[in-house]
Amino acid sequence: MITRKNLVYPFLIIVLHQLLTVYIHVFLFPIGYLNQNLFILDLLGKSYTLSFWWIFTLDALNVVVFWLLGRELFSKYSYMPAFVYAISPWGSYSTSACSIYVLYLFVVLAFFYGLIITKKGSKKGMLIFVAAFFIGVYGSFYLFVVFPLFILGLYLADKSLRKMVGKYMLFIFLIPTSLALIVFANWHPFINILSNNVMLFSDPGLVNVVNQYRGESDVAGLHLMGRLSENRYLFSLEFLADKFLLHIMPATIFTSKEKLLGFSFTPPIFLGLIVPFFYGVWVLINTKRQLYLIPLSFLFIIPSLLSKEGISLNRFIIFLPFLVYVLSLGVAKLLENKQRWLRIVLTSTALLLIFQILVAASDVRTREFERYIRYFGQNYEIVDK
Amino acid sequence: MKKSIVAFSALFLITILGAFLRFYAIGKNPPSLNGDEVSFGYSAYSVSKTGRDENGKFMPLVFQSIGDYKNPVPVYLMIAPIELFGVNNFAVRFNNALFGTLFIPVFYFFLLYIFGNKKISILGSFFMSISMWYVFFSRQAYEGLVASFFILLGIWFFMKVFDGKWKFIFPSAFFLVLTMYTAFAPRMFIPFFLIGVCVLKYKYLIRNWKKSFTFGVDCFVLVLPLLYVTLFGGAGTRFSMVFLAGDVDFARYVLLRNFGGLKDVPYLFFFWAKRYLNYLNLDFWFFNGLHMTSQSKFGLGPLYLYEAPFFLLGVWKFLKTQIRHKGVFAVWILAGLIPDSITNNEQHAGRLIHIAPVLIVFIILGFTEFVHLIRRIKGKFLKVSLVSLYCCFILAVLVHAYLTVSVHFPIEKGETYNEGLEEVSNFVWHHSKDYNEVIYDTRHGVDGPYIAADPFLYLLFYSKFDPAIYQTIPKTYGSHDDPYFKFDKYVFTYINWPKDAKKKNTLFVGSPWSFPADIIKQGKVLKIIYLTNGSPAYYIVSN
Repeated sequence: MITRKNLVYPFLIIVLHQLLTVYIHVFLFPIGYLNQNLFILDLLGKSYTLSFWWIFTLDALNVVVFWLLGRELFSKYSYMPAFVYAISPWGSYSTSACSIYVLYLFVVLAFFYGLIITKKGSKKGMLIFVAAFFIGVYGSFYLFVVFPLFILGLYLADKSLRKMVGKYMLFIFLIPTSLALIVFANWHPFINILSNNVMLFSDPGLVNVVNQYRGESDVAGLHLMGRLSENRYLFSLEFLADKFLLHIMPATIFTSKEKLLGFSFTPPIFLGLIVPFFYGVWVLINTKRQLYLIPLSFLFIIPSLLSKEGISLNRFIIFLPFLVYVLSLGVAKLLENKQRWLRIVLTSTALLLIFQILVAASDVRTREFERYIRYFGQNYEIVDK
Repeated sequence: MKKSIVAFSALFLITILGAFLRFYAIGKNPPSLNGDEVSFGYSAYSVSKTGRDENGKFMPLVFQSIGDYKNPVPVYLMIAPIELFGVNNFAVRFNNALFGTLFIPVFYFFLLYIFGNKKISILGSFFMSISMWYVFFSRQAYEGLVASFFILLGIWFFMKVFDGKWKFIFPSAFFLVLTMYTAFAPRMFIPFFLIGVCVLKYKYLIRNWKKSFTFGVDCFVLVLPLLYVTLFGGAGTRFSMVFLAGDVDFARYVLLRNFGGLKDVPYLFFFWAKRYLNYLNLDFWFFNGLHMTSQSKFGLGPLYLYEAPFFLLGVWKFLKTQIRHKGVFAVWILAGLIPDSITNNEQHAGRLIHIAPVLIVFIILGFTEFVHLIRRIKGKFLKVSLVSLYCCFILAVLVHAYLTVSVHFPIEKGETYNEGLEEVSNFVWHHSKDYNEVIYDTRHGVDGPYIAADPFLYLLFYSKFDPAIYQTIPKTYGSHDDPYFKFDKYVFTYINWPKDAKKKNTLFVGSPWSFPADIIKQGKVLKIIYLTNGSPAYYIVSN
């Protein structure tokens, strides 16, 4: 039950998050993403740019949905997901650069929220779920692919959901089917969108490697060996596996190894949260409940996996709900546990978090803009490839 | 009894396989001795002949080399093979191949001590025997491999001490400290490791404070000479050269200027955290960590790609199950990553080789779990299909490894190993009597003269230049901005052809970039030395 008293904490968390976002925006303005459009508008040859205020509001709504999700998933620590999101720079940086993925993140969150409350028997949930599905599929080329695959996976893996989703299956699949018809009617624009978004194998490096290795093996008289072990099929698989593994490595998430907006030193999620993250993974795997959600969640890596860059943090943000869930789970379990060494871990986490927030705040103020200039020059536009 | 015979026969065969992989054509692959190997080799030769290093210092504890200081143990260990086999590539690399081979049976007994299971121990020694990580660093005089051998012994004896076998206190302290005299990465690893273990087992240490004190005193006494040369003898310069604060990326993209001291320490900490966590990236471990080819993605990692599922399963099993001295293993790996993470170079598999035994323990744990999972599959067809498919994958990975080592590596990395300088040195040594002066260009490279080498070390080594004469012969040095070094008639500097072309009766050695494009047409080129990939590496020009 939502009471006025219950709303104080979410309100404070939203304020905290928005302050962080505004702080970053003030120092990074006018740096922003270029060429972002909704999928359906791209297909129809129209264009609409979401203004900063739209993105800013959606970002605030993301905190709200995280809080709502927290209420469903964590009984005692329901504020945890919203808090974890609020203090993570990932969302703030994306909002500051006016990324359309803030909208997609909202859609994904709404999709999950709808799904979860539907599972608990709420009819309102199905409405939210279908609405998010509709917006996602029509709004994003990637969600057009990911959402149906996710639903299919759930349908196959979860018996209780199978029954529930099965009732609405026709309706659910009418949405992508209707879009598929629009795609057929606008085939050439679709091919353009496809080639602009799926750049995974557009890098000639892969072919060059195969050619070079095979050439060297041929000269050495080892043609058959080269053909067996150094062919483009095997290397493509290895390339995909490597790229996938890079996405789920802690350095990607908790350090600036992959740079936010392509230049920042601030990590997507502060390093202080790494121990709760590992603890959350440990708890998640040990409880063995709904383990199928782990491979299914990896579907949300697809947009970033298909990018030309190693990892596109801009696209990868739609995976954030899973990370926030694991993190919140870790923090919640650490708080519940009264062991002395876990208390020490928790205190260290808090201290490191505060320390890094201070360092990041100073860094954003003094260096981030100059860093952008060093990487990209003075056009203030970021292109997501 | 019968089981023991089978186990020992298997171990013998595995060791023979490991020896073959380490010793076969060791003088030719890697394609040339690198600068460090040549430096070690000539220092060992010099000490064996005169008791002094090439700089004339008597039995030093630290060997001054070009730009840094080298550790003593590899040099002193190299004296025996140099005496036995002569001054050549095989002798320089012999020790590493030997220690790399000895590692296999020692690792078997170590695993037997930990697990008390012969099958697991045999499996571990097999993985060790074919490990490309070990094979690669056993085939060159890389001091980290020898150090890792001592670390294994030191930690093994250390574990025995914790099991109440007090007679191992001194051997443990001896081998742990010996590693600090052998390579730089372990020099940093050992203190972190000991601190970690002290924190982990403080109750035990307090309970047995007399024994702990003995161990501490042993370590302190043994490390004293090293401490002295580090503080007063120049051995500490290496650390200041490679410390993370001097990292180019850190200065260029994080601070946007050079490191400015205490106020930049928070940034350095988070930059270090990034480096440290980067070791959890599997692409380094399974795809390209050995840097054996110029292809950044599809080379070879310290671990084979087919070992990746075993590794991940193994980490999981390690966390879940009770293993003897589990805490020590955990400290071993966590502290083992520190030395490489605080240096300003890119990730280097060699500086991490001392943690390899732990990773192989993960792999064997994962492998046993993998076999267990496969056995649980009910359908026979599915089981056979999966196993066959995985065997095909293993075969493809091993074939790629073979091709990388035997074909791609010499072709793509010959230049970075200074390939050609052996041939150059032999040619110059046999023809130098006909010339007044021999001028070497210290820069080379096929795409541009961007590689700095120390050709004088190659000349000294391959000509077996009498160390007694070299120690006393007058030498002339230039400055940092104007590199110049001369002994006897040999000059090592930048060739400036428009000016140097006027010198008569002079032999020039340089890359094609050192001379005008039409130098071949001028008929002055006596010999062209080619790399394995067919590119001309050096011109030897007579004037």
